[in-house]
Amino acid sequence: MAARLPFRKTVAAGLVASAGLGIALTLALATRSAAQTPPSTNGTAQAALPQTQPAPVSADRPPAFAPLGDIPGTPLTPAQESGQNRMPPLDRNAVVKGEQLFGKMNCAGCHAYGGKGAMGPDLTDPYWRYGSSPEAIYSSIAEGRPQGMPSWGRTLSPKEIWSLVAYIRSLSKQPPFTAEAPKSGGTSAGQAEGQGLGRH
Amino acid sequence: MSEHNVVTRPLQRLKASTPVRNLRDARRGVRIPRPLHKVFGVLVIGLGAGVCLTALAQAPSSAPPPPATQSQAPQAGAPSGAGSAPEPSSTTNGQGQIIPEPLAPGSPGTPTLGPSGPPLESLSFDVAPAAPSGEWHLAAHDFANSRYSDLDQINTGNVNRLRVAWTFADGTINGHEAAPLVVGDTMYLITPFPNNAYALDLSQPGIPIKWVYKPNPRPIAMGKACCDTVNRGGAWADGKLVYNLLDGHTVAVDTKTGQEVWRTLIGQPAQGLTLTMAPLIVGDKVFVGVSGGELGVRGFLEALSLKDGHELWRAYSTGSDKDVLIGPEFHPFYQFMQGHNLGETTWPADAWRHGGGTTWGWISYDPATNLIFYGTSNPGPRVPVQRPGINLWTSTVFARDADTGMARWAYQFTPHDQWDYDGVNENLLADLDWNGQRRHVLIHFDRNAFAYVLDRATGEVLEASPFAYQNWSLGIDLKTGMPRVNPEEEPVPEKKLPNVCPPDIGGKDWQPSAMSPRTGLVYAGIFNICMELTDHRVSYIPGTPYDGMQMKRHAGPGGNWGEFMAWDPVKGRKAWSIREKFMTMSGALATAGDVVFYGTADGWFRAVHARTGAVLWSTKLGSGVIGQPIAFLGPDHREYIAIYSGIGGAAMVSQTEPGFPARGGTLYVFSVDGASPNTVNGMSETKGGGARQGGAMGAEVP
Repeated sequence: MAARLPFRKTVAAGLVASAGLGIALTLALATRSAAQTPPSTNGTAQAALPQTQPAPVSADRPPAFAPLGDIPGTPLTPAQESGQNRMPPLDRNAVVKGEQLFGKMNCAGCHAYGGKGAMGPDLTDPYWRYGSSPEAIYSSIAEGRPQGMPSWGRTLSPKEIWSLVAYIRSLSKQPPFTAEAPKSGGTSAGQAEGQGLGRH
Repeated sequence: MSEHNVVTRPLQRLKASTPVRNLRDARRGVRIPRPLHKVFGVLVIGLGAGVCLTALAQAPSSAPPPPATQSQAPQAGAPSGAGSAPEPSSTTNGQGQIIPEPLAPGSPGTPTLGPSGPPLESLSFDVAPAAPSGEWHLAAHDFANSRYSDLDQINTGNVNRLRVAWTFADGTINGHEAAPLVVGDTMYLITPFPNNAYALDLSQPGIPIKWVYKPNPRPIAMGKACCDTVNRGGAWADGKLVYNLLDGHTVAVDTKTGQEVWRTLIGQPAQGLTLTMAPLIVGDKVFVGVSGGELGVRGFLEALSLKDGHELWRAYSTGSDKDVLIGPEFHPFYQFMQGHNLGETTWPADAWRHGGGTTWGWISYDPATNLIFYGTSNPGPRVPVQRPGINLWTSTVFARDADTGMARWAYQFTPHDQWDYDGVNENLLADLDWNGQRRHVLIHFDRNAFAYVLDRATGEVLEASPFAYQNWSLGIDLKTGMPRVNPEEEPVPEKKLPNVCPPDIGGKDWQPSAMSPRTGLVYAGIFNICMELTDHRVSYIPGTPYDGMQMKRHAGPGGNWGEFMAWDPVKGRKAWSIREKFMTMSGALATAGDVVFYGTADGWFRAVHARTGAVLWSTKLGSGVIGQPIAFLGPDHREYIAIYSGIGGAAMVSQTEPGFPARGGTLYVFSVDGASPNTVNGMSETKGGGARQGGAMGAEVP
């Protein structure tokens, strides 16, 4: 049977352990609050960007934040800010699967076979009322939109919706498999985004 | 090269110098005071000549007409169905366009005014509800759907002096399909979504807005409208303007104040149902039809109380006899529609529940029999292999008792409709000389490219002749009442049919025709369009299209998308027609001035001679024309012509044609020389107190 530690040493060990715990907790809290500090208003956003890593990407995680409106006080566009969860890696099958769903779920009934538009807007042209980024298209499908786009978020799985996104982006010749933003400036895709003037 | 090359020859005779002011005068004949003996002599000679000419013209028809053997008509000149009278000869110019000889006086269809005798017109109609001359209370003008105005200040002599008197932009840009209404000194306009209503004061300088009513319909309905977020107009009666909102409500607005009187929910956009048609008001009842045949909506026709909007009866287009309001007084003329619960048994099990048969077209009414007439849309889904059977009661015209809704007879134009032809087009109620008898008929240009004349008491088909190129059928068998379908044009899933004619939107779509009792002719904008078609099987998902037709439409033989024609309903052939490069999807207006008006998808608005088809006047409007023109008298007792411009609707199928216009939303009002006391030159100000605005929240729940 080992001899017990003397009383004072026990207290000291406890104090050290508590302090260590306290420091660790404080550091953790400080880190978190640093992560939530809003970007400074003088435009040097880099310094205030979150330091935590984005949550691990997976096909089953829908976008967490895909704003339609602009974000005041930052140079970020809705497309750039769209979601912590970028489009997951998808394979070639995703486009094929998306095309099958496009017919099966009656998307073709409104947007026409091939996406040229009829009751619903043309999905092959550069005009995107609610944004052309993968996350924006995902949100449009999952949430629906006020002028008659139904909400499919309760009916289709995230994986199915991502495959639809891949197919739809392929219709307007945007890269289906990555989250590349539209090329800056020159393309009308980039210019048309954010023009909320309604269907032309 | 002019697109409307109609060679004109001087008329053999013009109407007498005494103008006919209204229909009653036309019937009674115009009296000219003359010495009595001269009257007697002229009367005898005139009557005798008329009798001889008529007898000669009628002679070949003493035998019953042969059954219609309808061969395909490759061009616009369809062969005659009835063949009961010597036909005026016609030649075809280099473009295959008909250049008719003018109808000889005394031949059927040409009213002749004897010097002091009654006109020998073939076509007449009931003018009920007989709005004051110069007003326009219903989109179709009257219960018979004549779209005929008895005004003749604007006539063949002066129509080329028409100029813009004033215009009105209504702030919306979707397809403008409505007819303006005029009651007293006020004009009422209904816009496409968001379905605002304007009252314009015609009596004040600047034609100010008296009030605007903004009903705020729910925007999700925009995504359920197959063919643009259009509205075909309202109806006025008893101090109320009644019209439909896209989101499934019918509203009544007090026209003195612009305040809502009642709002009735007819059906839910979430189920695919929208409203686009112009209701009909008969007495104390409002008749409303629904849209959504492309979304598997189970169609029905509804009667509401004009006073407070509550439902009086509802007649479904599919399902049991009980739901379809079929009872012991229902007597369809043809055997294929005789039986019990055919609205269920002509479908696979339960398919009738999403069977379409919506009712988005026109309604006409016969006061003598108290019957309303209207048609039902295509069956759902649009892929026919998924619904074997003749799919009653889709693509069908119904005659129903206006008070109870009980069906009296029905006729299915396109049994087992495989091409989305619908049956909703207008039914003009007219009286015609038919084989020596006066008959009460309805005249109907179907989407399936056949022009029908039906006995409106029994539903018997007196005639069915193609008015546009069609290859879906080998003719209509008048013994059985059924078409003989061309097996080569029957769609099979995943198989591409390169050239089905007419396309889904038909040889003629909803754009309504007009008839003239002075000429005996019926005037309509029609199409010359075919489609490449591939069917794909589909599932029913509520609120989404139950469709499956992959189509690409193109102009038919000749290359023109449109054509405006004058149709002789007795002879079953065109009297003249005008080919148009763009679609002719506007309503037609016929007037006592012998002028007919129509517009084109690229924005031309034309006045043509009612008898010869000579284009007398054309002007280009700000956007394409798919609205319904009207004629009215202003407070200054001057005749005006009003037409909306604003392309949209199903005319968008031709939007890739070079020259296709941009969208817009402006009402144009024309008068001779553009004269109008309230929009004259000089320092004019818009009179009128502040525009009052009435509205209501678009409810999230009904």
